[in-house]
Amino acid sequence: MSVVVPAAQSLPAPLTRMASPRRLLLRRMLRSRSFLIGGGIVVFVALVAIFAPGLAPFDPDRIGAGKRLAAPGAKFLLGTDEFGRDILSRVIFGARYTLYIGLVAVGIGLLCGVVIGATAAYAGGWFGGLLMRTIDLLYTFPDVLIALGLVAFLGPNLTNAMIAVGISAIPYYARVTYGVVLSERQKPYVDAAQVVGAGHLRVVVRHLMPNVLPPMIVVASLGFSAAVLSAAALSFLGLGAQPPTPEWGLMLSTGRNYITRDPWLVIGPGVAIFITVMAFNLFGDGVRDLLDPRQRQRTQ
Amino acid sequence: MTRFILRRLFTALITLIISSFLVCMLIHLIPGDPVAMMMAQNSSPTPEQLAAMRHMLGLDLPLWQQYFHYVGRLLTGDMGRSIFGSEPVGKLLLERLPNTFALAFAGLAIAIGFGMPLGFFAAYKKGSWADSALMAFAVAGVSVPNFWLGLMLVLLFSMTLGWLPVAGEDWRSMILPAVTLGVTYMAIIARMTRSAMIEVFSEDFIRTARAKGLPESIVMFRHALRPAMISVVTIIGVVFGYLMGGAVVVENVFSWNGLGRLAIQAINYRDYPLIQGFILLFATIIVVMSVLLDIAYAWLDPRISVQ
Repeated sequence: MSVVVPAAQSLPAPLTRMASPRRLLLRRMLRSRSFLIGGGIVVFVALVAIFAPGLAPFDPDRIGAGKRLAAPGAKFLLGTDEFGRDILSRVIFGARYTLYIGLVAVGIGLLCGVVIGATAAYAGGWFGGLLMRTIDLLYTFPDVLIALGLVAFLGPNLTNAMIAVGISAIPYYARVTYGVVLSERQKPYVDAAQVVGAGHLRVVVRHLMPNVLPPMIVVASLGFSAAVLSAAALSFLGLGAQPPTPEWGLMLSTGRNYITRDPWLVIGPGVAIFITVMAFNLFGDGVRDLLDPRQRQRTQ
Repeated sequence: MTRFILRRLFTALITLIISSFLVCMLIHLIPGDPVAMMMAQNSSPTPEQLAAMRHMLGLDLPLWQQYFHYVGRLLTGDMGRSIFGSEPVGKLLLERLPNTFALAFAGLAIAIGFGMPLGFFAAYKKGSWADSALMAFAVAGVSVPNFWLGLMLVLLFSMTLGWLPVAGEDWRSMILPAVTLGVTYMAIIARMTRSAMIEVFSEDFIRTARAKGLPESIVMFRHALRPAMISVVTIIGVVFGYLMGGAVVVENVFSWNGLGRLAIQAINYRDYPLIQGFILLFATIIVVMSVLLDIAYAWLDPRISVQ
């Protein structure tokens, strides 16, 4: 829209010497510790997942790669498990499962949540109200419980766990989208678009969505960490990934049987989950600070 | 206030109706014939046995009547019978409920008891190294998987130091599960308290209170704490629900004999009536808790009930 341009041209002269918004954002990015540390680790985990076959010293499923339950040493940096499989290789391949689970679950939750939230906010009235009431209702139930209930009936396996975790997060995404769209909807550019004759779908997709997207990056990043935690918990409870998948939650679940004798079985996979989840949380916090400096000022 | 409570009870009732409907319909998510799946424990059920089970569960009725059949049974206090062991579901659940409540409240006490003072302190010392350290701890707290934290605590306090038992029923054996459960929510409450306090500290009435020369302790505890409390109380309702959900996982780490352990056993045995009862009971507890908290909230902040 050309409405903004004349206003920008008539800015007073001294302001034009200010750094461009892009440079400003870049500078803030480099100064934000959460963003740098979190983003750095996220990239690292992604690289480990992509290059897992090259990085892992052994085949993660190779039984008897070493002695059973060998202590960490030069050959097996994190030791071996009850089948003599190399734990380090299994942790490295586990990064693939974790990122895959997170992407699928967040994808399902985000897609459904955004559609529901945006529809409710844009439609408004009794329909929007009813939709959001239902979402609020589901939001009060812990996501682990919803996921657990769904997996119990769908049947315990990795695919169902991902679906269940994704569905359990829909209320969260729907609520955030609803809030954001509701506040954006009241802004003049929406009226302007409607006045010029844009249809509902066009207003939502072309005008609202680009403004709704940035906050959704924050939400998706924080949601990713929650999804990874829930899915790992389901696998730990025996309701997600099934043996011999090198999934971190499942590795903890089988490793705990040997915790007295061989504690390293539960240390490697646990640290991996912890670090990955923390990275996504830091990254999400960092992006939020960058997008909304006002919020940052208020809370720092 | 009475009108507010009545309206709140009405929405709670609607919530329960919708939850029970969803729980009733869960059975249709089962791939294939639910009755055959349930009777799979029984080596070869006869067609008569299958039909009898189908009739008992009301699954031979048209879909829209199934819900009324289900609620009709619920209203007479019948949550069905456990397929494995054939005991009444209600009895099984109520036996375990006190243990889960004990664990969840102990976790909540730890979360509030440590989270609020820490958040208050961090806000008061905003920008100091202590504030940074506490907030770093809070990020770690929300990121740590509780089932792993539990295993690590067992490794340290039970196996290496020998201070606390791994499992059992007395209060000493509740310390580790309660801490495991509480840490995440302690971190969340600390973060919430901190930002609520920082917001309150910048309000005009705090500046006024300081300007008229009140001692700092009175400004903090009489003027700043109450408004900050309100925003924290609101999230305690949500936190409690999530704490109950977390208890399901933590119970299975420590073999704590609560609802969560029962639920996982039920899932492993495909004991669907028991799972349905478990979810419905959880939903009811969460709805009741949220009503109570809303009333507490309205009492703390009279503006709420007027809206």
